[in-house]
Amino acid sequence: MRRPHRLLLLIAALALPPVLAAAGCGPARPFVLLVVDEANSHALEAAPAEDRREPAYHLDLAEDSLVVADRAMAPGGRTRLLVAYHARGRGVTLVQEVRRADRLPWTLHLTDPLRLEGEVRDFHGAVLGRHNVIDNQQRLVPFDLEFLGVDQEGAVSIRAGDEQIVLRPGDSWLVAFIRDAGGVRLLRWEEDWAAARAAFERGEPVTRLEVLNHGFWERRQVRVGPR
Amino acid sequence: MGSGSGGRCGWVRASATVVVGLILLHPAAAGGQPGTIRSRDPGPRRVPVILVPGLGGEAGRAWGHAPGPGRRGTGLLAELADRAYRPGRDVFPFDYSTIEDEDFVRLAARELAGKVQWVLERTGAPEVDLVGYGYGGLIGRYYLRLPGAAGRVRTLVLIAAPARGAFSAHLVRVAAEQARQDLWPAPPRGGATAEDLPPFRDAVTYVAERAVVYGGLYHEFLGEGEVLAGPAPPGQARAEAGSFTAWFATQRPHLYRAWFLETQLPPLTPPACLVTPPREGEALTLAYYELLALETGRHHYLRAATRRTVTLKPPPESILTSPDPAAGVLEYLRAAAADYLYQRGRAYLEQNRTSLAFQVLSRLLPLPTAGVAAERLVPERLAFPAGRDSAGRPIQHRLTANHLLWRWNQSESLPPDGVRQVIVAGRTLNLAGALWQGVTDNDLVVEVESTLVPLAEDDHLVVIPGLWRGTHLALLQDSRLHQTVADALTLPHQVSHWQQLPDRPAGWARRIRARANAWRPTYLQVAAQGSSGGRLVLTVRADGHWEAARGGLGWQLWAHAVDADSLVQDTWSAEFEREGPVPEARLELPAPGLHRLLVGVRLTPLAAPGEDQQSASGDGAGGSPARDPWAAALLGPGARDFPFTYEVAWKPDPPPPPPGAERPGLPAAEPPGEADVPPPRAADPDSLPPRAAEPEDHAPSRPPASAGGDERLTPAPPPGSPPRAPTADPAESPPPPGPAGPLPGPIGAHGLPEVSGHTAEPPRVDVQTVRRLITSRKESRTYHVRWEWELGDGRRAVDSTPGLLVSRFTPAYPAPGSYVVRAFSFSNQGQILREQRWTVNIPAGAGTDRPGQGPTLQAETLGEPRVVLALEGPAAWIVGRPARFTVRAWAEDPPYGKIEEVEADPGWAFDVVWSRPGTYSVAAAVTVRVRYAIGGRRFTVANTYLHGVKVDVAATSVSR
Repeated sequence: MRRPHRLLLLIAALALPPVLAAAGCGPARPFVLLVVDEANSHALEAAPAEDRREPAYHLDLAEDSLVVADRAMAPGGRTRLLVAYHARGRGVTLVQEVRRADRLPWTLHLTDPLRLEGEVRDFHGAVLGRHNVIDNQQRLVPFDLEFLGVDQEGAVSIRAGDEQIVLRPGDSWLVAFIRDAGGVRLLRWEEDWAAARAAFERGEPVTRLEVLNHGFWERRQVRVGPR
Repeated sequence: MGSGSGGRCGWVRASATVVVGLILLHPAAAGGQPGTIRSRDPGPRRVPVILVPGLGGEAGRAWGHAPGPGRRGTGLLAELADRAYRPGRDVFPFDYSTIEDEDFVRLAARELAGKVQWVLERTGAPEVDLVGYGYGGLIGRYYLRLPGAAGRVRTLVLIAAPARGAFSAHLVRVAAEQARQDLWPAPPRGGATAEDLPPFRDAVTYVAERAVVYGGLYHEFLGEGEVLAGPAPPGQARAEAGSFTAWFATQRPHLYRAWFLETQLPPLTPPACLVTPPREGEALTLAYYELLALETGRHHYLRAATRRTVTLKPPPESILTSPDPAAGVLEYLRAAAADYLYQRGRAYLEQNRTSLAFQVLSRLLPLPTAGVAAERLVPERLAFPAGRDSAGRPIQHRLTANHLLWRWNQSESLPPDGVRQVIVAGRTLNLAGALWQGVTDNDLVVEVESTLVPLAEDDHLVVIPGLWRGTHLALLQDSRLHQTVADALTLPHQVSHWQQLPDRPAGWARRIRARANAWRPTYLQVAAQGSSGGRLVLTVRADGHWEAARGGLGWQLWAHAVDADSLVQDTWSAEFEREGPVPEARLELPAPGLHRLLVGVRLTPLAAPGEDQQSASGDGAGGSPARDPWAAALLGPGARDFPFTYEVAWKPDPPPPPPGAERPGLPAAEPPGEADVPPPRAADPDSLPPRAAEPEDHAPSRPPASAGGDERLTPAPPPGSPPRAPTADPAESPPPPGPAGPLPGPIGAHGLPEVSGHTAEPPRVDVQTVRRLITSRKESRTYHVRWEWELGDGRRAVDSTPGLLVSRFTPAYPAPGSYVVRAFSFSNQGQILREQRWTVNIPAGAGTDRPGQGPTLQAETLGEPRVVLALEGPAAWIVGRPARFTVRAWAEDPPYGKIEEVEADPGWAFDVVWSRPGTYSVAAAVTVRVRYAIGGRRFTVANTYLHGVKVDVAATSVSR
């Protein structure tokens, strides 16, 4: 009676992993964590007098942990990419969210207009009504980010406008945008950052976009909960 | 999906975890290393440490646990175990959880006294260390105020102890007042009305001024920290993105430091907002206003840029409409606190205050100017209506707004002498994450309650940055905290004192108190970068325990000169005097080229008389305690700290004497003596002209004045005699003698030529103390004040006419004879400036029917140059930024003198940096060196003149 038991256990041990994997509860598949950081010099149209928004996520690289405010922002078992997107105007958060891509390619629509509504008052305190205080025209990123794929090392292929870049873990892609006679001009950190500085000093809008690849993360490193 | 699949797979993972765990925990697999006691060596006994937990008082929850067989240690206890502390032997957690009274700090402090006594008796140690977390720190501080506590505590470590009141308490308090105003316009207790400006009378100005600074900084942040920021450092997210304060801390550390200090320390000199100090029970931290100013500045920048404001969420439901008033109070206060900080801060700037900063801002922004600012505080207990009871009677909800705040506000007191404080603070979100607009992840909101105690010289302040996860509870779990505390208890500590010697040698001295023992030497650092010379004189005086040191131990003062690469260049040492009532050691070191100096004290066993020196010398820590009971006390386990006083003085080199100068810096010229005054000689009728006598010291060739000058015989002229104008009018002045002096500058508004010089690199003076003069020199002038004539027959005449540089006198004698007449010019310092003598012959026959009258004698003395000074600089300034001052001087050659050199101290131009706000005196000294030639003699007189201005120093500077 004991042999059949052992045989059964052996069969179970061999068969269980594929079964579990097929059921989606195998070892958690790692995903790549990307941070997309967008800073705009002019996109905010009103000073927040009251702002009790809570941060949508907190990324603690010292402890390799990510806390998200909403379960919808947590990675699922099929998640390939987790993108933490933070856009600001004049230093004030316009949007902060974590989006997950379970299939690739996947697009982060930076050109979509953002909304931040509230009761707006003029300089002297007169109520102007409820309005969107984000000037999307001053968000100068002219393209969306299309994430094409992830290789085994965690490098992410991204199409940004006319160019395709590959971001390896630890790498970042940093550009700025200003307006000139020909429309929006892309500036690179390594080459012509001085033009961005000059535009800022002239009081013209500047948008800075940085994409960082933090490599593979596991689901256990992401927690849903309060700060 | 996730939870469902997790349930199905749970048993698999749990089983694997158990197996793996068992394997890892098996001693053989662990190799005896992890999971076991990290140090089996019991090691030396430490000074016993008592751990005082925070609110709640449960000892078991705060400190983790020491490693034991089969388990790893955690928390502070694990770190202490690594340093050879053993629970029950060296470490004693204190529990006061049974105290439930609001007065728990005082009650627990009394229980702590018993615990200290018990530990001392149990261990035989002379002192204990106290580590207090949160309110445990307050208990420790309160304990030190109890009788008998002094001398029993060596070090008090305060971990986030709200010694100055928790920031949350302030928020609640202010919010409560706002709520009260909304509910009851009339104040309780007959307190302030809406139009009053109680204790923080001028907070408006303060916040406005600071907000201007932060507004400017915010613009810089948007550029550098936002749209122009470079790529994130490898391995780091832009976690601080959008965090103004984080950028502030990292990119403007000098300003952040000032800001940090402003938010931490009670001002030594009251800024405008503290002119009227808070009444008892109404103490506020400056931190509140500083944070308010920062947020206000940021808001105003944004408001000016956008010309609009937006409310991103509707205001909270009013307490008046809340269905549950009791619960609504807290909710209301929470929301109102956030509103208050923001709205009031903005209102401050919009109201018409006579603040320079506000006026500047008003020019930039068309702010409305109506309204009166009202800043009020409230009593500690507030009553709110809470509906009615079943009988219809009104119910009051009483809210204790800040009893913990005011009652235990001990910030103004220092612990007893001999107790070193180590303050460990964390920058955490505190409650700001919930209340503070704009605080984002990783924002470095300082946990202000932690560090508000005044610091003594060798106290330490350690700030642990980068904490996250809400409250200061996170601090207690941080390994850096454990290490910091253990270091504070076990490692040599450095006096947190740097003294930067000024470039311009003006002399400097500082007295610093410190403590040391054999295994924990104390040292301090003196930076001497840029010093151009002089000598450092180090004196260390033992404040006590001298008798102990005589028991076979010597005390040694040592000093290491350290170069820029921290390599020891030179070493000096001196032993303390072993006799005399005041033991002290003294070293005098050359300062040129000195980069940094470490000064310290150590104890060394010394040979007793007749004992082999070698056998007794060596490292202090390696002495032979058994040989001497004092050595045991000094070198053995639990060695006691001994207090010292360091005195470090920098004496500049004296200025090189000018070529030909006989007495540089001569305070008084030409003392009478053989060299100056010829010996008396017999009267010689031929030596005198018929009507005027030539003084024997061969005064400059001036035409002899006519006889018949003023004559005063003994006694001195009565008070009220009309002053006499000096006769040395320019027409009569001889050509200026002496060497050629500096070329006079253009004639200034004073009618005098300007003589100011220039300093190539203006020295910078860091002012750390209040109301300090910038120059260390004192006014020193030498000028003539009085003539005294000796007539040679015992009579004297005195003339104290101010400014009378030429005195004429016609003596008369009742009898013929030869008389030696002497004229003395006395200085304001009582010294003889000049002596002249004549021999007057009264021929026979004279004086028989009328006094025989001699010739008119004329004596001349030195005149002081006419000097006018001006010190040009700002009348109002801000902390942290150099204020440039320029010294201007105009001077005119005096009679018989030529200005040879004019120098200014600290320089013709100098910068002053204040680290704290307040009203300061800035004074410069100008020394005018005049070379005189009179009567065939040449000498130099140096006069020093001071000129000072008042400067109001208000706020942290902007960086551009």
